[in-house]
Amino acid sequence: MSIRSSLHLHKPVKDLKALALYFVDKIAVIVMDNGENRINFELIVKFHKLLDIVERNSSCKGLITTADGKFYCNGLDLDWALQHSTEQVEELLVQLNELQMRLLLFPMPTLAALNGHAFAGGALFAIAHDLRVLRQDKGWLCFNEVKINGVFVKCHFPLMRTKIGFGHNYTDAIVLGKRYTGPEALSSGLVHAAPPISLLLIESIHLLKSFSGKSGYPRESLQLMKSDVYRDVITQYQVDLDSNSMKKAAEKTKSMSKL
Amino acid sequence: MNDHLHQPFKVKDGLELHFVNDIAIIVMNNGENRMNPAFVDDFNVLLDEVERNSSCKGLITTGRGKFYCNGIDLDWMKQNPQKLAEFLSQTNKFIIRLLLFPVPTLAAINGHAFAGGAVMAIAHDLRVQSQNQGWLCLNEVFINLRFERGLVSLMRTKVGGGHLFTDAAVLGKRYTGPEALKSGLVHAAPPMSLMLAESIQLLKSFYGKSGYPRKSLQLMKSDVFRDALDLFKTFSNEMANSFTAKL
Repeated sequence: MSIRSSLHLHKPVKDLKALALYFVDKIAVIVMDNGENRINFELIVKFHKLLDIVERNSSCKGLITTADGKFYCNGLDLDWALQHSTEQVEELLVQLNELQMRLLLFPMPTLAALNGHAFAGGALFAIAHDLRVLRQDKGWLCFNEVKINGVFVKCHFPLMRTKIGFGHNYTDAIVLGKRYTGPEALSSGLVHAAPPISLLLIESIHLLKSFSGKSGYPRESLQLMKSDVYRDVITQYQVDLDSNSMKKAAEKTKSMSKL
Repeated sequence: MNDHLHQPFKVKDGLELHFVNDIAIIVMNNGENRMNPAFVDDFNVLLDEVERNSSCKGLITTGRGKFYCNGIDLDWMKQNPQKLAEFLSQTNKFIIRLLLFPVPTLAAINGHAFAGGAVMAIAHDLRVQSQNQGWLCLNEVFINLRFERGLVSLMRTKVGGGHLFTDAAVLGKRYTGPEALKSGLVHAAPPMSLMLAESIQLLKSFYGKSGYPRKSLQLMKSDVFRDALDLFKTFSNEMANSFTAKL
């Protein structure tokens, strides 16, 4: 069942092929529609374009990202990475982290509506949102970096720790790369809800509105609050940019196994 | 424990190493299984064997009888005060070795795990505790012992925040299997007869068909526990003073 038909999303405000933007009752919905929705330069550039439109819309009170089909996002485009130089992979990682930080600090509440698999970089992308919903019956949320010799940049650890919490949910998810179905993710606090697919978007909109209320969040206030709460992530991110962390991550990415 | 473990692969004093398909099982069979230099040395020898077995995909540690591990051998310490600092350093290294072990680890807590024994269990990736016998308890606060900074950080990462952490570490709460399960300290609390089977199944549910790439797992553990490891390094032997006062 198409995500779009579930909400009778008709005409997109902007259609960039792999990515489209809709507005539903003052909520922006970005729908990815490119197979595994692997992260590469093209996806990142398009995402920023749509986020610009969302921010420019002063009546918009929240952002949902989702996708059509079996995958939300299956992580970095490893095929592309293996075929390009370390410098180019490093640049991709820098831009990916910039997009993640933009989402993390977005001036309105954000929700990742996981229609399907979110692995590795896709899981990280989802965790950069304020809220997560994972469909009840199919698809996994999984930080499987440990199983595929994958790599986190240092700023990802305070990010994941703050979002997931300390304790066995954190160590199960990150050290052991546990795979979570919707109900499992719900009971371990990784997502806020696990509805059937036909209700995924409706419940997501409902959940988002239950947080933002009638008038929504003052944008600057929300952005500052996010900057305060995620201070250690931002600080470490700056260090990662200034040091050779991204380069090291690129080298490791080039040498990782493909699953 | 009714473990149907037949011939151990290796025995070092009260410690047995078994291999069950691709899982290593170390059984502590020495009463309270208290930690002293001999215990740690023997354990390390068995851990060496486990690491050397390249087909091994997981490690379970457990005890036999009433105790998993009741902590540091205080009698030994009283008799050897001059070796105290060295022993504490050796114990820390042992805990860190368990913490960073290159295959997933599970503590099958068959009985009491107090103080250092609780720390040892917490250093594993996973914990299973018997439903109807034994307590898991960080009772250092009751016996005038302190946690060094690396240990506080490690426990926070493993146990979580909020009252679960403070009940356990500050107030030295005693947890039965079901209580530990409810608070997230252990993953399962089966009856004794099912301990080993459930532990093996739980471990396998994590490592799947091919297991974890060893180096990747070890690096991930080092990254996730970075704060604790840095503190262990910088503030080693803070504990020595509190132990000395006990002697």
